[in-house]
This record gives sequence, structure tokens and C-alpha cells, in this order.
Amino acid sequence: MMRANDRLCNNKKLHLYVTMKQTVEFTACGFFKLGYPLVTSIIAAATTYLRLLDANTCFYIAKLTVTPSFLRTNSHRIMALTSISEDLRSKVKSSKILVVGAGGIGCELLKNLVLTGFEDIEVLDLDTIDVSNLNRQFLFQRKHVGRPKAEVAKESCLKFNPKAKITAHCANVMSKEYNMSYFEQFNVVLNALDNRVARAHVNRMCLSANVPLIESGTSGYAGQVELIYKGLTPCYECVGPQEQKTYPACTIRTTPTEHIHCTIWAKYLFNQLFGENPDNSDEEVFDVRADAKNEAGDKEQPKKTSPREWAQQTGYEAELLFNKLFNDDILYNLSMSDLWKKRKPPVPLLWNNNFDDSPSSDSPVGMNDQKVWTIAECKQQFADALKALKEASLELGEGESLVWDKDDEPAMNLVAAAANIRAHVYGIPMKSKFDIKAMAGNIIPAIATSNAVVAGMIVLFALKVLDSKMEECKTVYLRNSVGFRGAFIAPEKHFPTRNPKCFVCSSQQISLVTDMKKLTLKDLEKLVLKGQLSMIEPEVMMDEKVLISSEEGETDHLANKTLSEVGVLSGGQLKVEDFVQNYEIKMIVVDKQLNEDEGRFFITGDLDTMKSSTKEIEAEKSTSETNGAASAPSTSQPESDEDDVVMCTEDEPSTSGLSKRKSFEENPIPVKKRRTEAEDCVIIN
Amino acid sequence: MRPLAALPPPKPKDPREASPLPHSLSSIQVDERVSLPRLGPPDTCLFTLGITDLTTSDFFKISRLQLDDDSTYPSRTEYNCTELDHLQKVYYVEVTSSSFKMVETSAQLTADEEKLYDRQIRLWGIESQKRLRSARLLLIGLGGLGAEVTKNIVLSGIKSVTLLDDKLSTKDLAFSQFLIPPEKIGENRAEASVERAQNLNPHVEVTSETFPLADLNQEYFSNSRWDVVVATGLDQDQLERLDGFCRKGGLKFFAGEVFGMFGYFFSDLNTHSFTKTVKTIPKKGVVKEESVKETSKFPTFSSAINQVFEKNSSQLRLLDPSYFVIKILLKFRAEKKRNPTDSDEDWDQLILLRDQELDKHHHPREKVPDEFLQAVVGAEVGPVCAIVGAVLSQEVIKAVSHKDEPHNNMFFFNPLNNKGTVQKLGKLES
Repeated sequence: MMRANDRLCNNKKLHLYVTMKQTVEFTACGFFKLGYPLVTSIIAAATTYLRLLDANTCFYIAKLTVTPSFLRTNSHRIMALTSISEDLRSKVKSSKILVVGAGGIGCELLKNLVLTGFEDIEVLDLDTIDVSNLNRQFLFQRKHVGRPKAEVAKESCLKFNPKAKITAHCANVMSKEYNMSYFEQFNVVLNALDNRVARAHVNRMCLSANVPLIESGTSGYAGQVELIYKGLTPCYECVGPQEQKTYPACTIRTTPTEHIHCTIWAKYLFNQLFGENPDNSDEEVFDVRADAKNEAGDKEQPKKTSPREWAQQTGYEAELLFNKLFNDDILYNLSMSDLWKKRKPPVPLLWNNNFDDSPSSDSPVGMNDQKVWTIAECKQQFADALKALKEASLELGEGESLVWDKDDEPAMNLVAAAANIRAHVYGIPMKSKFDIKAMAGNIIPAIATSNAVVAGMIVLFALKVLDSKMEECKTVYLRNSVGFRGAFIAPEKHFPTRNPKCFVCSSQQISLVTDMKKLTLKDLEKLVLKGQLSMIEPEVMMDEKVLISSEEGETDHLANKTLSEVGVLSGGQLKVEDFVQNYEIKMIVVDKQLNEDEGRFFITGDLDTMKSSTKEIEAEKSTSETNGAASAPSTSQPESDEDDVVMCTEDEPSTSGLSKRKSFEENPIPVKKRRTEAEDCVIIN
Repeated sequence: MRPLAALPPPKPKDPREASPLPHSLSSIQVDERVSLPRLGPPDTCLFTLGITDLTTSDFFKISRLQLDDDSTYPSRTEYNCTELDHLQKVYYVEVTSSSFKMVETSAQLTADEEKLYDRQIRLWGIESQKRLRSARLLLIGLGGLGAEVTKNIVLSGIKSVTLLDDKLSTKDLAFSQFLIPPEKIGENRAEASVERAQNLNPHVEVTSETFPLADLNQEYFSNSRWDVVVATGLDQDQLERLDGFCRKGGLKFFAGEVFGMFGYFFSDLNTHSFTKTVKTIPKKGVVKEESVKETSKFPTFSSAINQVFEKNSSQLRLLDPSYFVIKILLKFRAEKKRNPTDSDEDWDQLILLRDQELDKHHHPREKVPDEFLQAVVGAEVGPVCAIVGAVLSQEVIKAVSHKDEPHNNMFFFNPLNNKGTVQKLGKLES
């Protein structure tokens, strides 16, 4: 009526009455009318319920204290993680995360994840807890020594949030059960690994499963965190197949000039005496036949005895072994007189020689292990270690052998003693057990604080990934010291461009340069494919012919044939596949006679760039000689077994993005360039 | 107010430790101007300190071990104190610009310690480890950042850590304070943290105290009790007062805080001498490493936080905006007696403080964008505590081991770009 008549609207009193006394009809979904009394009681009940809820909110939180609860009440000023948006917090709660490695970074990482509200976490680690872990892997205590890391890490983390669902796997991430569909179930994968092979493997798995991977590492005070995501960033292997520092076999066997050569020799010695038989002859540091031939008057053809058998037959007698290694074999080496024209010849040593017992070093001693043993002490340690290891090996079952471990006292003592005696024979200054352990065990110093910074950053990266802000995850470096404009935790300004010739994420083509008359298929599988290219179960096909198969026994008859013998031609193509990694590459084989310093093979991006990289290797050879460190690829592969290894650290992050991009365009293998440029020298893997 | 004198002296666990030497010596404070000229040779300096009967003591025989003449550490003399039961103890006397103290050390690490600390000794050396194990830390404020620092320092193998806090633990600590078990919510934060902290390393003595900070005076902050103080969760005036105590008492002082995703810390090591390794890379030949001794001087907290910038100065231009955020947050806390939440009321207050603070320095307001302020509200974020706490802990380790150049004097973690920057603020006292 008022709408129809404008004049009525001018009457304020009437207008007010109509507005206030409006009647609303409540119906139950239009089926029947609800009376006012009913409606008011419904409202009253709901209000009371809400009021009760509000009053009890504190109570609910108190019951849920263990969970990061996002409920908030003003009355007690309990604060939530409001610096993280509500939307992201719910994503955190529902996401599924894989943590690979429960070591230095892994422990810190798991704690951070649980505190931040992640509730569905799987953790993988195959290692057990050692005393030397306890200074930084804080989820472990002395009582846990010897137990699997993944399991204890899970137990400890559940104490921070019993509601979290943590699945622990005491297993190798490279085993078959962790296949592509396993990786596909995660929103993001976090690497907290300690070695390059496993990192390369997870890299390939995440690329093929299309899951974002956050890669990390520390070394001493330095560290780094980087996002790897298909199409946005370079992959872990964009820097090319990574080389390890290796030494020419003849230096190890005959002409050592540094203590490290003697240490590597001593590790090979351990393996020949007690460990697994070496895969290639370069690691054989002594044999019995050469010795037998030297014995005058023995006209009979000596029986082919393996060093292990010989040692077992002689009961690991210290004096006999000592004289063989440090007298007879040295005399044999000396007989190659050409070798010693320009080198300082070694001085053979017999068990019964009189030893000058004065300590070889008079530097102040801080720790027991930092003392340098005298030759007499070395002799004693050598004998004691042999005895202990002999007993340990007797307890083993058929076909089993000892595994060298830096934390196993007798094994470490044998290597330290033998390396020092050999060093003494060759006139190289002896070193303390502490130092030899660092070399032999490839120990990378590790501290709690660097791991904590890196692990904190990984979770901040993970939050950004879940928040779809991947472009904000530029690689972050923790520096050794404060840099330009106070930079200490320094993010890159750009993502480095991807390597268009990367053999994993781009071109999937690679060239193998080797002497095809020498490299056998067994070498190809063990040294090239599994060793340098980090494959798990490689298969190799030439046209339709299977050269290497992942089926056990299928290609055993070919294993000892060389590439030429099975009909591979220079410039010929091989198809290499790994079904576990869902990875396939074309390999072009190039025949080339390599000298000893170049090792038995090397790998390069593709044929066009092969020439330049050959030059580069030659250039590096000349520089490495002045530094006294050979770095040509060879067959021995000292594997870092310590966790928390940095992949690389750039000294000036703000410019390194550019330099890296440049190097990708000009050079298929920029690793070396970065290695020589890096001041911090922490590129170890 | 409870007077400090009422605090009982630390009770020795072993009756043998009750012998006069450690306490009579360690409680002595000597003013530099008065004592240093008279210090002279070690026997004389003991005499100067009024300890005349040590050589004839029934408990100890003191002989001079060695004078540190490698000049890599602050001047220091070691004493070999042989008890009659042949238990050897080695003490060293450390003379710094403001104090003179005698610290118990041990000539050798045990075989167990060597194994446990192997990976870090390989990084900072045995001498640093020995210095670390004779240092005592007072940690104030057991929030998320406090827990991270406690963890790192206890793991490192310091002599003792004392946790001081008078507040009760609340539920919001569950996002970052992993030392307090869920069932201890509502208990004193320091007391609730002791057990888990102690479990991290049985070699370290972990204790707790619950005095309100206001009750503590200069006497409490003396180098007979502590070597380093780390303070978290305090107000600006408390921090200024505490820094003063620590300077006077000859203690290294650190203050830090995490707000949401943002964090910072400040260090005052007064005059600090340290050694660092300098690499020289000749054009030909092998890289040379040389150990050099240097000294750094630090401004006070008050000077750093009240820095006056010249308009358009390069320092102001290059300054990380985090500095102003700290000032804004300390002001907010002084007014509201708490940290900001995400309520509208707090937001308005933060914006107001931001505008006031930046206008005062003639600095554009957009240097501290709204986005930054959104990242500082609410509870401490665990991963950020981990990052700031780790950098702070490493500075504590550097400070007590006198190895490597310390960060002078503020560290900021900027949540917008994941950047951690060290910048020097404030002026040195003349």
C-alpha cells in the first residue's frame, strides 16, 4: 500500500510503524508455517550452544595442546601461527611429505615439520645411530646407539606431536619398492641425503613423478637449499655427471708421493685381506704370484693363489705380511729402475729392523688420536689389528666378508698403521690416526647449527611450494662468513637456466669416450652406468641386441667381453634404460686411446662438444699437476659416507646465477669451472 | 623485591670441590686499572689477588704449566693444580680488558668426548672445544628461540647452561618450543624444559632458575657465575639494563627474538679478541693459510637500537627494513605488554607505529611494506626459530672459543626474501 502511494511515505510516523512491525513468515522449507514461539526458542537454543562453545574453547585447546591447533581465543591471548595464512595452514595439515634421510639435516627437518603442523610424513633412512652422530642429530641419545635412525627419529618426533602420522622406513631409497607411483603420492619430497648417487636417484624419481623436490646439503659452516621442479629450475644433474677425486692406479700401487696415496693403498689392502674382492684390478695392491716369482731357485710354476687365500694359509701372521708388503714388494718396485731416476726411491723396511723410536712429530698434542704414532707403534697397531680382524673374519659365515668402516677400531687402526708405514718407506711424513681417519672415511665436518639453518629453510621452501609460490624459492646459501652488504644467508636473485644439454632432464644423450678394446661390459655396467651415471638397474641395448640386462644371469656370458668384441662401433649408439628410475638415454661410444692419467673412460655431453671438453681435461691436467692433485676421472670411487654434504657453494650468490647461465651456454660441463672458481672448496660428493 | 644476596652460593656436588681454590679464585673481580699494572708473573698475580697460601695449601699444589705465547688467544696462563690424591686439575687465568678470572679446564678431553664431538672438533679444533667446555651460559626466556639456542649449545658441549624464566608455558609454544612436553603446559617454562635439554647431552650441566628479571642486579651478572648471557622475550628497557650489567660484569651478551616469520638478534661482546684464518692465494703455488689475531669492538644495545641516521645517508639506504620492524615491535610490546596478534586492533596499531617510526627517520613508509607486518603477527614459527637460533648459537660458540670473526652486531632474518643479513648499528663508546 505504501509502495503504491508516495504520499503515505512522507508520513514518518507511518513509515516507521510499517518498517518496525514487518511480519516475517517462517516456514519449514515451505511445507508448513512455524509459529513465532518456536522460532524464538530455536534461536535461543543455538545462541546458548554457541556461547557454551566459546566459553569452552580454552578447554578444547588444552586438550589439543600437543597439536598445533589453529583455534584462537582472545581471552587468553593464545596465539596461532597467523603469520601463515589460514588457507596455507590447512594445506600443511593435509599434505603428504617424504623426508629422505634422518641424519644431521633430517633430524632438524622432522622436528620443524612436526612443529609447523605437518601431520603426514614418511621418513626413509637405512643407517643406524653412531656415537659421532649425537653432537648434532638431536633426536638420538646414547641409549639409541645401534638402532635404526628412521625408527628412533619417528619415536622422538611423536613426542612433539603424538597426533602426527609418521611412517618410518629403514630402507634404501634406491630399492625397487620406492618406484614412481610411490613418489607420486607426495606433495613435496625433501632430500636430507649424504651422497651423490642417492641424490641423483631421487632427482630422477621426482622428475619422472613430477613432484617438487627440495634438495639440501651442509659442509662445516656452509650449506645450501635448492628447489628442483620440472620446467622451472635446473635439475640436480644439470651440472653434468659429477666426478670424484681419483688417483692414477700406478701412483697408488708403485709411486705414492702424498699421504693420501698411502691411505687409499691401505684401504685396498684391507679389502684384499678381509673385505669384498675388488671389482677391478686397479684396486689390487699386492698379489702373491709376483712375489713367488722373485723367490730364487723356485723353478716350479707358482700356483695361482689369491692374496686372501695366501693370508689365510699363513694365519695373517703380522711379521710375514709386514715383510712382504714393506720389504719384498718395495724391492720389486725398486727393481724398475726407470721409475726412480727422477723420484726419491723408497727404502724397504723389515720387521726386525731397529726403529728409531723418537716421535716423528713434536707438535703439541690435543687428543689421543691426534698423536702421530712412531714406526714401532705402527708395527704394534698393525699386528694387533690383524689379529682382531682375523678373529672377526673367522666368525663370518661362508661367502661373507668384512666391510671397512672408519668407526670400527681394528679396521681403522690397520689402515692407519699400514698407511703410515708405507708413507715412512716412501719418505712421506706420517700422519695421526685422526687425520688419516678424515681421509680414509671421507669425513666432512658437521655441526648442529648449519644443519639447523638449512633444515629451517627447507620447511620455509616447502611452505612456499604448497602455497604455489615456487618462483620465490630461489636457491639459498648459508655462507662461511659474512659477505657483500652483510649477506650471510643469501638467496640467489634468479633461477639458473636449465642446461639444454642435461643428460637427465633435457637432451638425454651422452657420449662415452673410452678405449673400446679394453672396457668390458662389466666395467660399463659397474663403473660407468652405476658408478658415474648413478643408475640402479641399467639395461643396455644395441639395436635389438641386449648387451646388459637387469634380469639376473641373462647377459652373464657377455660380461667379460669388451665393447669391440660385442660389435660396438666407434660413434655407435647404445640405448641405456633404467626401469626403476624411469630413465632412458642414448649413449654414443667414441673409441679413443686414453693415457693413464685420463683413467679408463670419461663422459661428455654430446659429440659436438666433445673436442672442447677433451681440451678442457687436458688443461685441467696441467693445472692439477702444479697443485699436486690429480683429478682425471679414473675408476676408483671414494664415496663420501658422511651425511650433510654440500653440493656446491658459490662465494658470491648474486652474480653466480649469471656466471652459471653463461657457462651452460659455452660449456657442457660447467662443474669443473665452478669447482676451480669456488673459494670455499666445498664441492664434495 | 628479593635481594640477590639472599641467593645461596652454588652448592658443590663433590666435597673435594669445596676446597678453597675454585671459589676463592673464581669470585674475584679485579678492576683493570687497579690490578693490571701489578699483575706481573703468575705467582705474583695470585699474590696480588690476595691468594698467598695456595702453594702451601693442604689441598693444592700449584705449578705453572705454560704461558700461552702462541699469541693466538687472549693472554692466558695455565696452572696445574694437583690435589693430594693426585687428581689433576688445570686452571687458566684469562686477562681481558675488564676482568681477571680463573677458569677450570681439563688438559685432555676424555675418549668418550673425543668420539662424541669428533665431527665438530674437525671443524673448529680441539682448543676451541676445550674453551667451550669451560664456558657457562645463562639463557633467559624459554620460548621457541630460547629452546633452539638451548638445544644447539647443549649439543656443542659447553660446561653449563642455566635456563631462567619466570613465565608459565602456554599452548602457543607448541609451534616452536619442543623442549616442553605437552603435559607440562602450565608449568614454569624453564623448569619444564630442563629434562629434555639435559637428555641432549649428559656432559653438560643443565639447571633452571625462576627469578623475575626485575629482581636481579649487577651481582647476579658477574663472571664468577657466567661467561655468556643470551636473552629472549624481553622489553627494550630490560635489554638495555641487562646489556649494561653484562658489560660491567665482563660477560658476552646476546639478545634475540622471533615474531611470527621474522627474527633478529643482537650481540655485544664489548672488546673481543679472536683468531681467524686468512687464506692467501698466490698466483702460483699452493693456497696459504695463516692464523691471525684480531680485535673487534661492539656498540651497546642502547646505542644500536637508538641509532640516529642522517637523512638519505648510505647507511639508511642500505639498511635492511628489519631494523625498523624490530623498533616497531619493541614499541608495540612496551605499550601492550605482549606481541601482536592478527586482530584488527593490533594491525591498526602496527601500521600506526610503522608510520611514526619511518616518518621520524624521513624514510619512505613503503620500505616496511604491509606484507612484512603481516608476517610478524602471531606465534613464533618453528623453522624461523631454528634459523635464527642456529646463527645465534654459532655466535655464542665463536664468542667463547675466541675463534673466527663474530657478527658485529645485528642479524636480521627477513621473511619476505629469505635473506639473513648482518649489519652494524650504533656507535662505539668513546
